[in-house]
Amino acid sequence: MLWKEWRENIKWAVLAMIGLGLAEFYGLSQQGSSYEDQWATLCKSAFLMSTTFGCAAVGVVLGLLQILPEQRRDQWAALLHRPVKRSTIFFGKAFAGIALYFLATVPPYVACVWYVAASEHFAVPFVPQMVFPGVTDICAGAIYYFAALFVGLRRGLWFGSRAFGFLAAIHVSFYITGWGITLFRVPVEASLLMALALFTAGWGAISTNGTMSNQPWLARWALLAVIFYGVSALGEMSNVVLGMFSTPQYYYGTEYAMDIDGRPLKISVSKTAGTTITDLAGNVIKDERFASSSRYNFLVNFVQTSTYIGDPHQLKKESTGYSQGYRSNMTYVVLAGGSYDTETERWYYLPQQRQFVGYFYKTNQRIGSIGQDGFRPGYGQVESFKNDIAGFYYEVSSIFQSGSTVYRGTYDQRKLTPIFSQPGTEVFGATPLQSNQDQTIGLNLGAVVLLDKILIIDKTGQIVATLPYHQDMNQWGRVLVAIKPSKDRFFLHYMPSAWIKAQEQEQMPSYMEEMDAKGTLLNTYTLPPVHQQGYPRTWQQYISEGLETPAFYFGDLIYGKMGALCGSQRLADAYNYRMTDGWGWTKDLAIRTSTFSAIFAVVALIWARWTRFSWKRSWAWALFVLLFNLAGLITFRLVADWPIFVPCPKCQRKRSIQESTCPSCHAGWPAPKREGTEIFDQGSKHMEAPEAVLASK
Amino acid sequence: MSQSSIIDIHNLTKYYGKRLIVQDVSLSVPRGCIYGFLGRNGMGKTTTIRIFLGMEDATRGGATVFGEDSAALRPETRARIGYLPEGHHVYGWMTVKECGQFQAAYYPKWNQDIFEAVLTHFRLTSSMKAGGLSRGQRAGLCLAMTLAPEPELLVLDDPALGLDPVARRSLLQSMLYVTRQADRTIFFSSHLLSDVERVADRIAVLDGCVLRADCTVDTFRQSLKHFVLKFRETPPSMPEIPGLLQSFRTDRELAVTVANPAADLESRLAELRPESMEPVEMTLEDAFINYVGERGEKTFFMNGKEAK
Repeated sequence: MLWKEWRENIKWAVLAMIGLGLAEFYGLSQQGSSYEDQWATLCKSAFLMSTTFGCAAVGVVLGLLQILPEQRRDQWAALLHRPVKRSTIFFGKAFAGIALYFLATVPPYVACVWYVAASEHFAVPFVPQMVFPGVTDICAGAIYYFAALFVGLRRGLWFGSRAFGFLAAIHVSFYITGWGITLFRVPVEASLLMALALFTAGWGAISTNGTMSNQPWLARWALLAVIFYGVSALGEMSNVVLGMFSTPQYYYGTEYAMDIDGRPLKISVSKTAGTTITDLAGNVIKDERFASSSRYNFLVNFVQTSTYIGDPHQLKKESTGYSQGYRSNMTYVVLAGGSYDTETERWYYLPQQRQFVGYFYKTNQRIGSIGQDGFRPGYGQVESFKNDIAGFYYEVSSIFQSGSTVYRGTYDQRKLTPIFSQPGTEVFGATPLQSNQDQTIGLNLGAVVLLDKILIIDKTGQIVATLPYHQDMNQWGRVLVAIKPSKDRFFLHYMPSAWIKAQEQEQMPSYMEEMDAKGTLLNTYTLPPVHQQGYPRTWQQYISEGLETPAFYFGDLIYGKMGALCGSQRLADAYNYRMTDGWGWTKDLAIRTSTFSAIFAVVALIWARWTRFSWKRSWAWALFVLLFNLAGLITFRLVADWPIFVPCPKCQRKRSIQESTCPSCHAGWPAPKREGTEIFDQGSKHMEAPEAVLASK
Repeated sequence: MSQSSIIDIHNLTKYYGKRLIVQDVSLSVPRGCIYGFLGRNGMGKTTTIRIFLGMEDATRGGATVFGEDSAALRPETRARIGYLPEGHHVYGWMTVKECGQFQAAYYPKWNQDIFEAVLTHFRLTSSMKAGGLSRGQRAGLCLAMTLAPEPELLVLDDPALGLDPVARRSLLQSMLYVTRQADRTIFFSSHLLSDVERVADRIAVLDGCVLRADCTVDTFRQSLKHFVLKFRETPPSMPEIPGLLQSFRTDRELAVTVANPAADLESRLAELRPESMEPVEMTLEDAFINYVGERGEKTFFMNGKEAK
């Protein structure tokens, strides 16, 4: 079987390999459209598009080609009649097919990786971890392959339960291509689990002649999982579509700002009144400069220095610093020092290697590396920084912190200069200062955040201002700093610390201070707490949240509790947050979810009994629906072996075609009506029951 | 099941959705018997075969083959059954030799001599591409693959479908030669009644989802009587006669076909006062067509209307 499948389909695999290879190289050659795409290779959107869709398409095509052409009735019958177990036929097909799938998808990807890793094809360094997204897409394509096998083998309507195999695969694709996933193993595990479920469900489909109840129990559970996730994908899609038609969302909220003259402002946005700017006394300010979005040019630019000043709760230790999704190019290569704008060269920071690497932009030649021990040209090895570089978002700025040392990078001169380092002094953050949008470039000043003050330093490390804190840093440990364009005034904005509960934060004021370079406090403003309304909730959100799966919702809570009991700080924090700060939300969602699922469970119970399922089966399905809400109810409809009813020939009430006696009149099925033309001799079984013959006459 | 039954079907009923396909069919195929399974298209022949081979589930009732529940046939039992589905499917990209090798891999009792003998009979060579074979050659290759494992039971679903008379005869010859030698059981469906008549010991007829006949070929033929009655005037309408299958009235003639005729059939027909009454011998084909054809009275008048 392996040989036959391999021989039969290898031509398609080779074709797919060529097609996918062309698509991937095309994707690599495209200029990226997004910011980070400008220096992306294996994580470029166009390339990942080709791997995501390409591998899925190859999986679907190979899977269907293995089943559908052979499924013409006589061919399939000849195949199934072979004196082997149907499992053997399935395994032969599946193992040959998955090998062909990897033959089609792995070589093109390896070629692309080689092309990127080989020198001078791109002015971007190659980091081995960059292969993760592509590898994940290849794994995800295997889901589509098994989905195609399942869809091909399952008996049923194409637009019924069969198609849900593909929907289940789409569900996993949605999940694993999400930008929020940081760990590579998560999408790989998700892909493997779903591939395993689809494989098992496909095995179950070929093992029987279409009924669920005759399948091995493992296959039945796999079928339930596949259909459930397919229904969930449908739910997500419906949610997106419904969202398009629901009320447009408006942002409601209030924030504090400071104009370039040092005047604190309150900016409120609402659906009805639009944007309103007042002073702290509530007087509306009619100033043309603030009329449009260009008002930010006339406001000082507060830069967040650190969330963790003081950090008595050790939150910083749990922070990943540069935490990014595994599909994000910036997880592996970060632009450094604003060199994006230079014409000749680009420098990058490699978080995994903790070193900087430069390339000539035009020739793709590697300039060299900069590490803790300085610059080495070409591929010379440098010493990695001992500590992560902290606190960057889109690029590593010219001033950055590693451990307790603050550096200034002048990459065109191939050097990093330590500009601040005091033994025994912990640095909580370092960032370049920006005055406002028009004057961002050229300030050449940075802020170094210490436990009791913020130092403003120039490019040589000279301290130009010392700004001591005047608030309780345990309560207001989140500090933003800004500078007046004239560079003689500095502003601090204290906000409630990250470790304070959200509900308490909402009741706390915040503060703004104005200081001169010596740290003399010139003004202090107390900013009353503002209620951040955010986006109004829509009816569609209420419903879709209520349709969450109780099994997962409560399972997640139990998992968090168990994790906390087993000593996981991360799970304990998440659990504690949900049961304290987020309790209102947790309770509300629990009630809504439970109510919805209870209603659907009752519907399932009535439905099952109405269609003459036994009490045991009816309760089992009701419990299933109770656990899985509406998705469970739809799954029940799609996978259960529903009886077919016809009118009873005797009493005309409906009865199942499988029941031997009518539940209403207890009559059996009558023998076919005899016409007197039947010809049966002594060898016929119909002569074995002459009374039946006579009765029918 | 009787001791010598190879296939035993009991009260088999099958629905597709709400559509009744086969109703309450019971059938027993004895060892060594050649059983013709007849019926018009769509009457459930292939469905019945697929159910007793375990490829479909019965809605009610069931079947056993070699005493084993057909819903759970073991691979070892399947190896004792040669199955030739309609359509003569072969993998077009294989050569004739590869087809044999692929098939042989599944069967412990593969007889290469039989395989090659059938190939020779159909003038097939090992290097031929299966995709390039004619319909008859393809049928020969399929038959070779079905016969070479030396099955004890041979199930053929319309094996001569689409074949020209020469290929059909070749197929029949090969099948009979190989199977008759070892006294094997054959169950085959066909529309070619002359073939059935030539080889079958017994026949079963499915009509309107129901088994209407299950008997020897001779019994079937003898159970049907066909009379042609000639009249001076327009023949009268047929009275109610038990077992009447059909009557055909023309201007001066009345043809009557009756199943299971009563002893007084001829005297009852004589009451119609025909000028002459002639019994007509029927071939199996004629008998079958009359049996499964449209029931009741048919008329054909040259002058366009029936005389009073």
